[in-house]
Amino acid sequence: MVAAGEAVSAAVAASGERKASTDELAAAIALAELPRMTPARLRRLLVESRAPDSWRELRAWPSSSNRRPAPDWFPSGAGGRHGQAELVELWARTARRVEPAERLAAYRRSGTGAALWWQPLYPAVLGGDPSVSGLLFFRGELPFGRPVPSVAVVGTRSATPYGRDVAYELGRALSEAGVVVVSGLSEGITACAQAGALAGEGMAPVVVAVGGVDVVGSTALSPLWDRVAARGAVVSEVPLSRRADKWRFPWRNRLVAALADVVVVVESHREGAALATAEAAARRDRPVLAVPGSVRSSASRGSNALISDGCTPCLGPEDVLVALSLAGRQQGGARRTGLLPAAPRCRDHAGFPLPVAPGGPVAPGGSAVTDGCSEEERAVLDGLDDAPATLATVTARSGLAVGAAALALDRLVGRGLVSDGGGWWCRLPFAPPPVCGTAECTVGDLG
Amino acid sequence: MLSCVRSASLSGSQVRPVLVETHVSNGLPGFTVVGLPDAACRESRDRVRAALMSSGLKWPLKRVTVNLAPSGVRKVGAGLDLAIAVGLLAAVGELSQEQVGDFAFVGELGLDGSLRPVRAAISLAAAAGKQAVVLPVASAGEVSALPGVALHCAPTLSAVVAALRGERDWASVPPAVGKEGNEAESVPDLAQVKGQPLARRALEIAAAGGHHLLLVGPSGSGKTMLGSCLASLMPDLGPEQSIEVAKLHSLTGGDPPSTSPSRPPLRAPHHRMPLVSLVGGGSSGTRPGEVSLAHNGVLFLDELAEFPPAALDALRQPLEDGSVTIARAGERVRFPARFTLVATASPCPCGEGGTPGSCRCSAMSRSRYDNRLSGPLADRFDMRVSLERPRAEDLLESASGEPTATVKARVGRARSIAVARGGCPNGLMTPEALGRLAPITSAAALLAERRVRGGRLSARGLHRAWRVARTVADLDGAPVEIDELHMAEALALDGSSKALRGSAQW
Repeated sequence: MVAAGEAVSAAVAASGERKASTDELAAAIALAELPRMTPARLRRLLVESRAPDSWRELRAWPSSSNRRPAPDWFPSGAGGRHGQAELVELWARTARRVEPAERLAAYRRSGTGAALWWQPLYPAVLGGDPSVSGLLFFRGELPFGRPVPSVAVVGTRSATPYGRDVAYELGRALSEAGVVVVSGLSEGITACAQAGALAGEGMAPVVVAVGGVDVVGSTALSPLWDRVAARGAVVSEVPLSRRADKWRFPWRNRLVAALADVVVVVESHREGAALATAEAAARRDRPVLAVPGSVRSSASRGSNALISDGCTPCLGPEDVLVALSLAGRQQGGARRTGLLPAAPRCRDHAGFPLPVAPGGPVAPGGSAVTDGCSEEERAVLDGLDDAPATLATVTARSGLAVGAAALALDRLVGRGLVSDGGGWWCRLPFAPPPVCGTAECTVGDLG
Repeated sequence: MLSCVRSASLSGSQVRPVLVETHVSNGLPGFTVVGLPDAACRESRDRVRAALMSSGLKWPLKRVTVNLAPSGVRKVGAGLDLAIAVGLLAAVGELSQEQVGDFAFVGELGLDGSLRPVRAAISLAAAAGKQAVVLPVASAGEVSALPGVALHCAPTLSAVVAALRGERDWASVPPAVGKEGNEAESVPDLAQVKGQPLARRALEIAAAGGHHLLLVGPSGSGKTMLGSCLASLMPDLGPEQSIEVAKLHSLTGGDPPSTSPSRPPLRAPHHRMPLVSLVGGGSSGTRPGEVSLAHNGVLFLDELAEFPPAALDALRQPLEDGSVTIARAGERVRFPARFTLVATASPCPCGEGGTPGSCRCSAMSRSRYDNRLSGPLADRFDMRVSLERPRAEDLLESASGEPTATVKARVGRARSIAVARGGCPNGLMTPEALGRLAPITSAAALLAERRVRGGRLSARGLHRAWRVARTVADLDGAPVEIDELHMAEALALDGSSKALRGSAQW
């Protein structure tokens, strides 16, 4: 594993068998930065020809006065033969202004690495995949240099608290079992999965960016993005500073599916993008697992449909490990504990479940837990289940006044019996370890 | 051959007393009005001549000069007609100066000698500055609430002359423009709202304390209906307040307020209305906008996110100061604008974003929407309540909720406790007054402190919750200390804008 700063030179050093590979990398970067470049077009220029040859040919391309047909290996532009000529001319004009060595130096300065398809740094799983470009930009450390199992955790942006919790727990359990968690990084499931994978001391995760590796989806996510880049890696097929255009999302999803040995869909709407990732994985014969959700939740409609279509249901991290043929790798053996380990659901301000204090498994919520509860708290607790409910619903179900219901909820959150999802409350299935047991324990104190 | 008669006139939005001097002399017969009259005012000579003749009075075949003092200020409108006619009669000796000297005259004349109502009659009567004011019958009702003014009215010019001569009594002053039934017709009763216990409670608190309220919910959750109920829950206005309201409404020149003058006004401007009509202004004299017409009442902004950003920014000054200052080329006017703001919004463009996991919007359109809603204005709302669509059981249930009258009685009690304590509704208490007049128990303080420490409540937010908690305590019959329950309720009703969108996290 090599840090990104020296990655380019390391990649060059490791390629003893191919001479002048610095030139080839520089030319590949310059080609990738051409306007209207797509992964498919880049593949033709990099893989089906050699990058320096493509670059030389482009620069030497004659101006429009004596136009000649492009060679066969050249990518075709929109609009057939004519479109191709136009595209090649655009590229030639741009190429004459660009010096590949300067681009390579710029990437080195910004701490961004680049790996060509034949270099050892390039993920082996991508070899022979026809939908990837053959050039991968990255920040951080690429874990793909040696055989490491990787799992894509994907799902919707508008997730429920249930989905977020499951994604977080999955991410953490998998990373602790030595699995690389691969996903995009947008709000909802993927952000929670990445945060979970970073929570423990386990394997660092990998984010696949839609735009350049320096283009964060939203400002709220940029701290998480930086943490991933510092411990794990952010990879992309797109050159630096390119925006996350709409058309790039399917390409990104295909790359996620191609990088992962197993894909887990946590929550997906009926026509969610996560289903496209699942389909791309199925086409590559990678196992797809889906986390079952409530039949009433529209956020689980797509993932439940996957299960009814024959996908393996994912009932816990062990199921994923079994699919990876790694059963037993999870810490504490392959007990089938389900996805609900003894964890308090106190959340920090960003909404992440906070780290667990060592407390061991606790008995399922029941008599022992509600012992110290007042009449009101019990009434509120009886009206709650694990579907999120608003204060209005809680008030109506418990028959309490608004103030009494609000106070009881506040105390129950302090006891760790109820989770507060920003105005939406749901009951937690397990009692927390003692660290959260007092009413005085607050989210803020723990944070 | 000279007479002086008092009156008042509008110039722009300012109402000024005017002295109408009439001079009649020998010479070529003619009638001149000087002293910067506008077109309507200059035309009064034709109306006055016709009205005098129709009323069986003599038109002097002499040279008549009318001066409107102060001469340097522009006079607008036809409200000086009556004063000019009376002044002319006094100048030719039909009436004596003693007979007219104790009165101020405001009114427009018809060609048949009848008296027509004037715009801003209440302001004009207040500015005329005399003990007795003579008005058209149609304008008198509006002015009748004005204290300290002896009010006389008459239907025609000949009736005015007869009354001044002592031959006949003045006409009786009609009662205040009472359209008591109007409110009940246009605004739904709270009993019609099914379910929504939280929003009902928030409405009650907003009405009692004058707190600004934001209702967030999907389409069909009844937010518009609830929002329009707020004004009808508020207690009646005091005499001073209702005169302030009546003066502002009379300046717009149109209809008297749609409800009885002692009820708080409800203004619900549409989101496409131009900025000038929201804030005030206008080319022919500065007129108060919707924010001032909602003074002492409710400004209801339905679909807040549809309002252009400029309109929402313009609301910040009135929310902060309780008034708007409009500077125009000719004048600079300050209108009062202290209203209770109630607004509704969808949680996101598709409307479903309130429930976790069911939003169908793209991230881009959601963040664009959020940017429009968040910002300084969103921070001004004391309560932000999310609504859900009512359940089918609630809709079909025959038992209706509490009617407006019951809630209004509770609100009135709480409001009078608050006013007795701090001299104003709780929503207007300063942070300094809060510390002095609204003590809280240690348990309630702990509750608020945890929120602040947890980073979920700003300093401004704490004061907001404190004021709301004060009102909750007033409503619950705890006039001294704010208890834990009251604070918990206030904090629960101050849902963060993120929570309303159902996305506490990313």
